[in-house]
Amino acid sequence: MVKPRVSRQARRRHRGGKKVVEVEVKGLNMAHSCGVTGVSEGDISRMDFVQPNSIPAQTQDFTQFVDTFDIATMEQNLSEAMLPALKQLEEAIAMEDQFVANLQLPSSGNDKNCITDGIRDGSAHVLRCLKVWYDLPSDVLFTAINYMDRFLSKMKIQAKHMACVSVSSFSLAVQQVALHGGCPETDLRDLALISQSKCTSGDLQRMESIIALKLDVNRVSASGLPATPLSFLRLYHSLFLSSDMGVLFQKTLAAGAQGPDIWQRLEIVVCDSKCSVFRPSVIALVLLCTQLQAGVEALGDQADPALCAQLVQLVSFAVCLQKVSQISAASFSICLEAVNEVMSKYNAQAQMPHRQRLVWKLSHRTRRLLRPIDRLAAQLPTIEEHKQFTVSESRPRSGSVSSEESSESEKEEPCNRKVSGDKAEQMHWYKIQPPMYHEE
Amino acid sequence: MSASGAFVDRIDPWGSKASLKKKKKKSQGSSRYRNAGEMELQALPYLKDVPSTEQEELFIRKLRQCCVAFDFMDPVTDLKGKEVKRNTLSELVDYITSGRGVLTDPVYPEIIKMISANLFRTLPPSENPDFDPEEDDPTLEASWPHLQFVYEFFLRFLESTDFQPAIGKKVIDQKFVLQLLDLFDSEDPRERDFLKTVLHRIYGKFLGLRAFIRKQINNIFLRFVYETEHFNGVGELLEILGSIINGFALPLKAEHKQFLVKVLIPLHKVKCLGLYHAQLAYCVVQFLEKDPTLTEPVIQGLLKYWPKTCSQKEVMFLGEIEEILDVIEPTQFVKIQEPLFRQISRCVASHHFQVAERALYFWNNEYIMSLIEENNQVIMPIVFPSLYRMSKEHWNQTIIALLYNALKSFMEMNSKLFDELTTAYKAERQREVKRKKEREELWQRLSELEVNSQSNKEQQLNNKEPQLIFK
Repeated sequence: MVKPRVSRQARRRHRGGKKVVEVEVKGLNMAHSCGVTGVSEGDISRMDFVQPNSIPAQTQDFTQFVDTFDIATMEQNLSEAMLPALKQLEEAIAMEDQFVANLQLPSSGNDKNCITDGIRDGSAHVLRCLKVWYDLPSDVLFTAINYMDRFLSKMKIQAKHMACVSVSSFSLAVQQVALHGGCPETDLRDLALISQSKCTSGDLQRMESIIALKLDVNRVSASGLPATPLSFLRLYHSLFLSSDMGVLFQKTLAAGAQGPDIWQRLEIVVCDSKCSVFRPSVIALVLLCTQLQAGVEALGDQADPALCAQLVQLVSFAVCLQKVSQISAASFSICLEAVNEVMSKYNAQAQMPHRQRLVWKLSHRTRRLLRPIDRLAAQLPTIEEHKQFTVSESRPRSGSVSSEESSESEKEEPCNRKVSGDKAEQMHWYKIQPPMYHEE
Repeated sequence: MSASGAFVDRIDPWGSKASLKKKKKKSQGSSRYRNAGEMELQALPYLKDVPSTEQEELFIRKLRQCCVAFDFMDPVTDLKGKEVKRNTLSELVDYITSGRGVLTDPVYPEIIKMISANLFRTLPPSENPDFDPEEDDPTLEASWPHLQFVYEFFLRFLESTDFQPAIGKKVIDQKFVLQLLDLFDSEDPRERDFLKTVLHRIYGKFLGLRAFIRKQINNIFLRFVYETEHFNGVGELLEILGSIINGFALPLKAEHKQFLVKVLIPLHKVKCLGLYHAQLAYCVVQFLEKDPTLTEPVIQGLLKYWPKTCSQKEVMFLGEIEEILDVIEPTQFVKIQEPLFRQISRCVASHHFQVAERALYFWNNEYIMSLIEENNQVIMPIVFPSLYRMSKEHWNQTIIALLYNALKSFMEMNSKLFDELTTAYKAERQREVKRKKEREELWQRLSELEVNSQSNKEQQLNNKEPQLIFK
């Protein structure tokens, strides 16, 4: 068994992971810094890209296979076209830390006022619904959740203010994204009403400015929107596309989609607080790999060696990206576990655990006419089909009950036939009718 | 008998409704008019003052005395006589309530004679042919001061512990019941209420009359639905039927199922459904609680008669659907979910805000939501497009909020399906926009073609030499 040939230096780099990797433009250096020559444990190669009965698996050790992979072939993949994207990636990695929320929320609150992961997730999904409602691009959602998470990690918020915080993050995000031309100017005047956040527009505006202040949004925004899993996924996506394997990449991704595409799935991932501790680049790459894996499985028959070889290329490219992004094997696998959990719940199409408490406001007219049967006066006693009806259980001979006392609620108003004969004239006949007889 | 059709004996048959309504005082009607001469009613001794051996005879004499009719349209005539009769009736009511052994055999036919004499009359034609029960006061029976005692008496008679159906059935026969049923068309709600209870007791006590009564009620309803669309007592009859349906033995007889499909469902199509909808809905729901397999024909029937132009009726139908869904069994639900939710989807997209509101309020019903959730793969694709489209289009703020609630509920129910539907909807919209653009371009090209061909023709004409010049 070939041991992974990773230098001690490389290992230290992986653990520390925050330095900018000096990536030289030349292909060869790139390959070296990717460390394709040696593959460390727990990284992408461990994922079951390759079916057991396919050729590479026959070698029994996939790592060995990758080891023997032709570096030259790899270099060819790193074309000139990818360079600007690569540069962007590196810059993004460098800046990533300031946008990591590192939010650790308790699962259940000891006191009613603390924010649990369930509450945060519920709010995230509300924002997702608002994004659909206003037909806004995904950037808005990711930016909003980023603001929300970072704000929560910096300030101790009471649970009752969560709605305000989340919706204000949303409107702030819309502003910022519109500033960078990512979405059209949207009229959010009814946001307070629609989101049922129990805040006024004024409250939202104030909270917006607090969040902007706390997160130093205006200073940062001068350079761009926060780094979110979406921005990284876009970078990875374009890098794959501009490589030689672009077509295969798209094909594999499409095969593995099974309904919602990768962008929608990323939204779901970011709405789950399990993933709020990871760096956005890790989340993006992990999801991309899971989708590629699903695609590979869907593409089925891997007896074709040419296809196999290409798939292996895909894999190694992903490994490459992992190295550039300075994602350690450990963080990759932990994130992988979390993302798989989220995705399996999503694919199971089950009811969401965090449901918004919705307010149901009805107009006065409809509220009055809700249930037709409720309006019925006290019903006549049942007559059994094959038995005679006996009167004893029928009328409650409760003595003289005046009409004022007998009607407990407006809709009840039983048939006020008086038992005592001499009070016969007092019978208020109009009360026994359904209300239609005397509309206001 | 019931009044029908239009008035002909007014001076101005084309008078507007406003002019007809000039008189504001409470209207009273009666078809009883004064007798030939003033009737002197001999004052008889009180029953309680007479020894028990003579009570039966006195009772009968008083009953016969009460057979005399008085004219209530004229408020001043026969005041003394009316008072005597009223007191006698009141006394009779007390007598029959408290006394024991007062219902002897000979008394039965006398009682029925008295009741028939007072109650059975031709109902006067309706004073207001455009009577709107929600706006107008009903025309009351003028002779009510006497009639109410007669009804009260009748009821105590039927409910008395001494009452023997075996003797009673000799005098309360089919002819009697038929005349009683005709009275249900009275405009006076008090009278109808009494009739309701009376008929209920008769149905309850006389098993031999039950089939006949059911048949006659069927006839009344069918005539109402398919011929006249006018009968004041539909609600009361339905209330009685409600208590009958409640007592049906299982398994249900074919006759009863037939009644549901052929009579109760068509009752939904009448214009004045609002007068009796509550009672009708109650009957329908009772049927479904007795036999859930009837769900499919009921829902299909309602969908067939779904109102297309009357929004008030549509709101009523939606209310009834909710009541039905409240008691529906999941296996039955699956059978009717597709056509039903297609209709609900249309209601949600209605521009009448009350219809949309009522339909959207279904999303607040926990049981309905649980049924939708179990079958969300089928239902969500049907309703989603309307919800999404209306969220962008609707004018009413309350509806917008309810649409949000409905969409959010769907999103929570099945995020994956929701995302797929959103994408599909947007893709479809884009295709539509593209198709529209292509269509417009085609028309544009066609019109250009025409212009070109015209200008070509003109050119051709100009190029030709003038062949003929007429001078």
